[in-house]
Amino acid sequence: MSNRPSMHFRDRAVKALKDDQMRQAVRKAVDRLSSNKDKAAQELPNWEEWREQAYRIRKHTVENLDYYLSKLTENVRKAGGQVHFAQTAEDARTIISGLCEHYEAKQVVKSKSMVTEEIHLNPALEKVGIKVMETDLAEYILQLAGETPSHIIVPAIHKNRQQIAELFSKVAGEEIKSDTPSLTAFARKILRSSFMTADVGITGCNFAIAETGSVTLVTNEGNGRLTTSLPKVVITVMGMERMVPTFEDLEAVLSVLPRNATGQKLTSYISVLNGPRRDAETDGCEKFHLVIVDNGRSHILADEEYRQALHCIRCGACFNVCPVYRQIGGHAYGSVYGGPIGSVITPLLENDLAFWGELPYASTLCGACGGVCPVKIPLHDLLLKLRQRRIDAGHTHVFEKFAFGMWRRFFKMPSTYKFAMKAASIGQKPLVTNGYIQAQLPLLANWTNSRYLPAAADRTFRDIWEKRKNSR
Amino acid sequence: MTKISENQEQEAAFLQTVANALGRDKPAGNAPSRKEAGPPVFWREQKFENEQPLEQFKANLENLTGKVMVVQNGQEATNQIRVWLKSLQAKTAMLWDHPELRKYIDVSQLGVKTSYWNADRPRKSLIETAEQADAGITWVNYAIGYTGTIALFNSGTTGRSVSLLPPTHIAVMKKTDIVPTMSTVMRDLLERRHQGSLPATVDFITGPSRTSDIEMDLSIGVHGPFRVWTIVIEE
Amino acid sequence: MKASIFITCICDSFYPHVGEAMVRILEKQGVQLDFPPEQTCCGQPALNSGYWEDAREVGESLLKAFKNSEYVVAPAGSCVVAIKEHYPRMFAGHPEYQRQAQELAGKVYEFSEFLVKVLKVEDLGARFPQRVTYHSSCHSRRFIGVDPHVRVLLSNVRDLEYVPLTHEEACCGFGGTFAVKQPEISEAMVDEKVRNILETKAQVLVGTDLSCLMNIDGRLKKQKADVRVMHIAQLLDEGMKT
Repeated sequence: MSNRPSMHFRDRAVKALKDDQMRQAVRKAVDRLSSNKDKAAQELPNWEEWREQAYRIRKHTVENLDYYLSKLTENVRKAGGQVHFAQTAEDARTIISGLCEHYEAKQVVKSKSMVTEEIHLNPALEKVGIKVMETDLAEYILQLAGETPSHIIVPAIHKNRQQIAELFSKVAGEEIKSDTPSLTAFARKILRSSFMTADVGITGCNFAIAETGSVTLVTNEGNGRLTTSLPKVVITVMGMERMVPTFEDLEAVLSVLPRNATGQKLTSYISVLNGPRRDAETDGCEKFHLVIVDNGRSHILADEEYRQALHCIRCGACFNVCPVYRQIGGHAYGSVYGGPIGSVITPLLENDLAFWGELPYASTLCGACGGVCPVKIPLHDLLLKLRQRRIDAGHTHVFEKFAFGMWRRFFKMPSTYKFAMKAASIGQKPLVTNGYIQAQLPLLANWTNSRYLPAAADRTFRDIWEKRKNSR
Repeated sequence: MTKISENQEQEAAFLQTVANALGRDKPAGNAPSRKEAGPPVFWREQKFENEQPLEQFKANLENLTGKVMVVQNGQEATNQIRVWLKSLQAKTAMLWDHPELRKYIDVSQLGVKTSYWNADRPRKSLIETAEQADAGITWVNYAIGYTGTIALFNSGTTGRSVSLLPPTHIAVMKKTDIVPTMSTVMRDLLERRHQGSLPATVDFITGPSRTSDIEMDLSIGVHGPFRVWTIVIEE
Repeated sequence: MKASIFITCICDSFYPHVGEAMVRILEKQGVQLDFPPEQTCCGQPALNSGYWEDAREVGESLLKAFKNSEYVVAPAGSCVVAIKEHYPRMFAGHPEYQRQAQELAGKVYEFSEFLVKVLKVEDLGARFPQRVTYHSSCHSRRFIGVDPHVRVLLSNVRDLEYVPLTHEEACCGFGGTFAVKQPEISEAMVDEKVRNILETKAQVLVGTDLSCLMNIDGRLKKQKADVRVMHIAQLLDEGMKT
């Protein structure tokens, strides 16, 4: 699925930490999004009841996914659409490029879709001579820059306006000023002409509705509406779990998604597509295709411990509260999905704890993510479980395994524990100044490079207690 | 356009994989039982005062830079639209060919060249007209007080492009079209589905087009309209 | 009332005076304390890194130590959380140990939680005329809910000038082995925490978890910053002496 990054996570993190501009931009964005979310959650009465209900709806859907996928398929067909099933990313690429070629598409417009990133769709379409225009402003910027998203809600968070103006100016063949209205006006103009001439519109799917065969797009810019109203063919690509059973359920999840993602009550546009246009209509698509993608999701589904990771509604709030993401941004994770949710699903979707098993360690298990998740996925818990799974599977460094083995031997019993601490207390003496160790020696340096280490006390609490007991 | 075939084998294998993952021999055929669907119980049971939906609608949409003008009748509505169009220096407007709009709005008084979205003209012409119009004028199927949203059901005479392509969207409604929450709209949609009359597209529009993609700086009017101005006729 | 001290390995070895402060405060409230010597460490370092076998063997020492205790009090929220959140699962497959783990999870308390929830004490008559800010440790905050207890205890300390910390709930970057496995990210996180602390111009940083406090103190000292880092028990104990 993901193209494997060449460096290890720690190296990617170190590289990211040097990018001051990105870090400043990320801090500003996540602070704004988090505080907006807090306000919006307070404004809606009984927020915890909504979370509980959203959790129940998603749990019920995922646990009955076979039934609801069948229902969805039946109803999309009843509404006049067609449904295709892609087990792997390659299947999805084949199906979608096949559809585009069938319709002799020269130009495709795309509204934002993480699953199409996941399956690496754009290069596949471009390879068969199809021009693909990303129309979400951030995705368009990234397309021009040749980069991948670094956040699932605000994908180009790491780019500043000067960089954006440079990219736009190159396309325009003249200088585009870097103020927001100028940049927006340019994008509007150039993408509007793409919408008007595109043969095929490709979208993601925020929520499909099983009982009616509907597909819901949640956007702010209007590109979702344009992508589905003007081109004659619409292809919606859907991660197989992105569904709710009924319209009622849609209201429930729509009440938490925008609030959690950006702090809005609702996004500017929520479009519910119920098949292609009816005969009497003029705009809207003539052909509607739904491509349902597995690409490793069934692997997660089969695992009762991690199945709940599929409840995710892609709100991005876990990114916004993650203290690690805050420092390193999205690219350091090295995968399509970063942040807390990405650290859980990437090793599982890829079925690879050896390589991607590094990601669950990109966390202090602080629990902020699980606390903010609108569908109550205990992400911090899943991260811990993945670590355990990784060790059980034998993917561990010899040295680390040895170190914990030693630790266990000494800490198992009070006598050996006391011995170890006494030895450390004596052994450290040459290194201690004013109660602290500063020396940046091997083994210590990972701590002492940035912090002083307190010296172990001459008398432990145990010693003090013993003494007190004996003197009574 | 010719129809492309769907691969039944791929479909069967896919659903079989999902069923197996859930510990089943084959995909479940019967609807699973559910305790509670939809929003929390308290949400469905809440009561709203008479004036609340309109008050909330106005407060919410104005908070998003939209406008909500309450008028007494069709003539006042027409006047207001004329004033707005003049302020925009508009030359043309396109309207939904909707019976309520025809009833309340006298297009001859609007001071701009107007056209209706209906089957009288081919697709290319309709879309081009909408693209070039300075304003798109629609009725609403519902307005939702709780979020400042208008819900538009699209059809042959109520095209999507009218509320999407022009830089300004003017929506007209009666006060009784304003409902407290989305729940009412969802119930209606389900009812229509049962009657086989579910619209091909339902658009929930909450304020103008926007983005914060550029350095978290709010920008209004990215791909959709810059302005959503509404008129509520209090008859 | 009787209670057992769970000293935690960090407090035992690096900050025994915090343990002493805790003992003084609890004894003054009439609690009869004992110290079961079988205890060593809750096993978090191994537990959090995924080495559950190793963690379990070490955690057994706590099950043994506190088998007969009525209450167990620890000067560290993260160790209490390890027991409450993870021990029942960690000992799955060992029914007798698992039962003991459930029992222990039901009677183990973090120090400020014990004072306020169990002893129902909110005012110790302390006086501490300094500017103080509070770092809310992740595990204590999110899984035990210690914040309200700490706030009420601090609010009753006379002459204490409390100043809120920006992003008080943000992780300090310790995360057990994270601090040494991802030292660069950890440094960035503690750096931001320290910047926020210095912004408050507080003379004292107070907290409930010695692991966090050790981490933050280590960074403050490296930067030669003049902020005193204290555990809540230390602060209250000192305040009671005046």
